This record gives sequence, C-alpha cells and structure tokens, in this order.
Amino acid sequence: MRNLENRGARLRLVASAALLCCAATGALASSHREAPFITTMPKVDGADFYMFRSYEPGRDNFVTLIANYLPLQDPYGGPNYFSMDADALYEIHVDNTGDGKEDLSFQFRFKNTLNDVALNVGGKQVAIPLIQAGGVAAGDSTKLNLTETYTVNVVRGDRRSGTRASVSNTNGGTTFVKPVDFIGQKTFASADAYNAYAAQYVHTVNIPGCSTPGRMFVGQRKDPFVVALGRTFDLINLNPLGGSNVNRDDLAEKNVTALEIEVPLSCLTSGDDVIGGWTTASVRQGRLIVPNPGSGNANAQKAGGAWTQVSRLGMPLVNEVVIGVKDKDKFNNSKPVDDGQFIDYVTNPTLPALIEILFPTAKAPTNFPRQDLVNTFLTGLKGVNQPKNVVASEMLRLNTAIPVTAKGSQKNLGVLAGDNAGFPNGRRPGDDVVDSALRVVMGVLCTLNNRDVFGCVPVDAPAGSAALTDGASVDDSFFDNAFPYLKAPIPGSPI
Amino acid sequence: MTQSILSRSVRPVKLLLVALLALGAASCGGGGGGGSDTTVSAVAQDPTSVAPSVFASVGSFISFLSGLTQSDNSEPLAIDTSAPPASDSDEPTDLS
Repeated sequence: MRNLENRGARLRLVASAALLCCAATGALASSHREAPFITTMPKVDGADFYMFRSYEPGRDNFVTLIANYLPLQDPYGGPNYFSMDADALYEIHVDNTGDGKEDLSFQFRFKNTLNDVALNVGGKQVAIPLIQAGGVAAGDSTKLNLTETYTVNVVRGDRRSGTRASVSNTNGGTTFVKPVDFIGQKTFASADAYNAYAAQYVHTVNIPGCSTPGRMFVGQRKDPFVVALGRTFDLINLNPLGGSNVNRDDLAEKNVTALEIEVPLSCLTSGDDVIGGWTTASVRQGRLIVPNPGSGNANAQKAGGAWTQVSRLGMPLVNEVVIGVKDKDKFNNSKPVDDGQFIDYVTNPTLPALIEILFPTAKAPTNFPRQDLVNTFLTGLKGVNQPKNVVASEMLRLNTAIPVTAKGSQKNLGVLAGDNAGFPNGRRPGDDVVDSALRVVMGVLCTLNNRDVFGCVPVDAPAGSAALTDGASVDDSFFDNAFPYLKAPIPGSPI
Repeated sequence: MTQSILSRSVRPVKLLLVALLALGAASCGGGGGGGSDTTVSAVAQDPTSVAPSVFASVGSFISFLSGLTQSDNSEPLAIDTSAPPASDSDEPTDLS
C-alpha cells in the first residue's frame, strides 16, 4: 500500500488517465498471428504499429509511422526469404479530425521482378534456384536475382474514393527499391556491410500536399517487439510478480518487415494536435489458382476484384487478447468508425477474469461496465490524447503537442512513469506495452481514486497495485537514435 | 474398376454444372463491379476452362468465384492469359 501511495503521488492525473489506454487495448503479446484467417496469409499479417514524434535530434517536427508486417521471420528462411505480397495493398491511415475515418492514407504496393539469372551448364543457359547469384554490397546489387520495388500513394479523404497522388524521390521518381533481406554473412560480408547496403534505401521523399520533404524506408528489421510469448500463451506460465527482465524474449531471434515513413508534423494535423493512426492490409477479393502457371515469378494465381481488408492494427494487442476468437477475423476486416460492435469486449473484458482464474489471489476489477476502459479505448483521454471532436473508435492516438523525450531519457512505461511522450500517447519502439497493459487491465488506475476521470476507485480493483510483468523488458536502448530507428535484421547465417 | 469408370463418366457433367452455376451467378451481377457490365454469356464454350467473359468486369469475376462449388473429384479449370478485373475504388462485394 505504501508503494501504491507513493506511485499515486508521483503520477499526474493526465498521465494516469493515458495509461488506461493500455489496459483497454489488451496485454501480453502484440499482433503476431492473432486471428484465425490471418495465420493463412503471413505476408499481410500486421504485427505492430508505432507512431511517435521523431526523437532523432533535429527531427522533432516530424512524426514517424511504422507498420510491421510478416512477423516471426526466421532469418535463415531461404531460398526465397521474405518478399512482400505483390497482390496486396498495405496502408497506414491517419485520422486528424477525430471522426473515426481516415483523412490521410499512405498506400504501399510492391512489385517483385525476377532477373532470371542463368548459368551456362553444358552449353545451355539454365536458371538458378536462388535469389542471389553472389555477393551483394552497397553500390553493387548486380548479383541479385530478384529485385523488389514499391510505390507509395497518398490518398486524401476516403481511402478508396479519395484523391490520390504519388510519393516521389528527389528526382521525381516514384518507384523505390526495397533492400533484400539479410541473407547472411557470406552474401553481405558483415553486419556493417548490410547496414551500409540497407542505408542506401532510406529515401528522402516528396509527399504530395506537404511542403517539407519526409523520409521513407521499407525493409527487413529485427522484430522490435519483446515478449515472453510462449509462456504468456501457456496460461501465463510465468511469475507475473517476478523480475521485469527474467524471461526469454521469444522474438529475440526473429525478423519482421517494416514499412516506415517520416512525415512533417504540420502535414498530418488539421486544427487539432491529436491524430489517430492505424495500419491495414488488403488483398483482392477474388483469387484463382492457376493450375498450369507459366514460367516467371508471379504466375501462380490471378487476383481480381476490390481491395478487401484482412488485417487491422492500431493500438497494440487489441485483436490478440481483447477480441473474442469468434470475432477476430471480423475485427481485422472492420473500420474504426464501426467499433461500437465490439463494445462488450471493452465494457466486460475477459482478460482480467482469465488472470483471476489463473491466479486466484489477483482479483479482477469489479466496476462493470468498465467505463474507464471504454473512455480510453474508444475516445482517448481528455487532456492527454483525446481529439476535440472525437467519435468513439479504436486507434493509436498521438498528441503531437507533447514534447519529444530524447533517447536515453525515455521511460519504457511511458505515461505511467511520467514520460508523456510515450505509450499510450502514441507508441515508440522502446515502450514496454506488455507490462503497462497488464497493470492497467488489472485496475492500476482505479488505485488513483478519481472516479470522475477513471470511473472507478481503489475498492474496485483489489489487484490494482500489483507490479505485473511478463518478465521480458524492452527500452529505448534497444533501438537506434535515428530513422529508421529499428535495428538491422538478424542475419540468416552467423556473422 | 467399375467405380473408376463411373467417376470418369460423371466428371464432365459435374464440370459443366459447375461452369453453368458459375456463369449463372455471374449473370446475376453481384455488385462491386465498378460500374461495369456484369452480364456474361450463359453458355460456356469449354466446360473445362474459365470463360473469358468471367474477366469482363469485377462483378462477373466475383460472381463466378462465388458460384464455384467445392468438388473433390474434378480437375481445376484452365485459365487463359486474361487478367482479372481489379478496382482500386470500389468496396468489396457483400457475399452474405
């Protein structure tokens, strides 16, 4: 109790309120393979979404948006490795009016070009079975057998019927190269060499409608999420009151593909400092498998019809541990503006009840409906990250007026620890959303004894003061201090 | 052996039924067509391949796919080089 009182005294009201966002949106793992259908389509499986004011020195007038896809990549996954789906549409949406609808969408489309490298074998030119025919280095991609490129459109207004324009590089070109994955030591010689190679593809870009150039990068990165994934889903097979860094991070040896764009802050807001963001992936509604595909790289199927959304991710963990199994595919297909259909999962969340079943001494909060979670989950928190004219909807919300916290000074519990530049005011790579969420879902905000703000008081949350953790910690030291922030991928063979 | 012969003789009939069902569905429209004509020929020239008219519009393509029935004893339909129609501005067709 003494600790609780001390913590309560430290936390500012707005800070505590903001933390509620974490609880409302779940706990434990992020969004890797979180719904039944998306497990069949890993290339369009959104794993994590980040949105924060750029903390690279001199860039605090920009916002960095990161959408990670294709999770749980084993670095040694050759010979094809992890190209993106050329028949998919990857999007990052921004709502800058609070109405639950996108005002700005960044649309990524990929193209994979087979260079058809062949060897003369006994007088015949025969195609090789690998995506590289030799070493690759900065300035020398001539040995790549597969070249992956992408284009990006900015859509203002409705994502389908709005006005489209192409993102371009400083020369006016609209096609960008995605670096090949970190195949391994022999192909790239060293980690530094891979970094130099990948760094070529951090593009300075002109974003239509923005007066200042931004930056963009798409490529393989080490998965930034940290979680004791296996233990967590094995009925929380860990000590949730143990040390914060005693369990294995099951994603430590995994890579992911990051879609990153850094946008001038002034280009994202529209009369309100608070913006909302989320990412989606869509595929063509119809696919026909070609029974006799011709030679080539993308002839095995024919896809047609309208874009049909199959993945959605705003706040971390929502579809993973808040939405019931029967509605997970529905959630992935849904739009924020329609989130009222999922309200029961917030007002009467099952996660605290499950925790109580597994740990009977950890009593779940009893303030039903969980108005505290509803307010935060669907609207953002007044005075922190609630838009002026908010329509209830789930997305990651960032108050762009809150100053940046420099790397080295960031608190991995974000607002809970007094660092208002962090989660749930947006999300930085170093924010430990798992531990934050665990604590809030069990009612830590109720312990602050402010019914007007949180809709609950200490007696409603008997376990609200518990310092819950999954025992796998992350912080800003895990990441770079400059765009694209996320670390280089794990190599497919040892350095 | 008798069963095998019977299966082979039934297969073309089933394929034809599949094609006709699909084309029938296609002729019903199906929406989401981006304003394109969703009417296709009611007669398939080749019951072992996808009719080119299926690729005439988003509506006919989705209707064709919606009309495909699951078969455990048919060979896949051949597909020509036509590209299926795609739309960047339409919402998906409601299949409920």
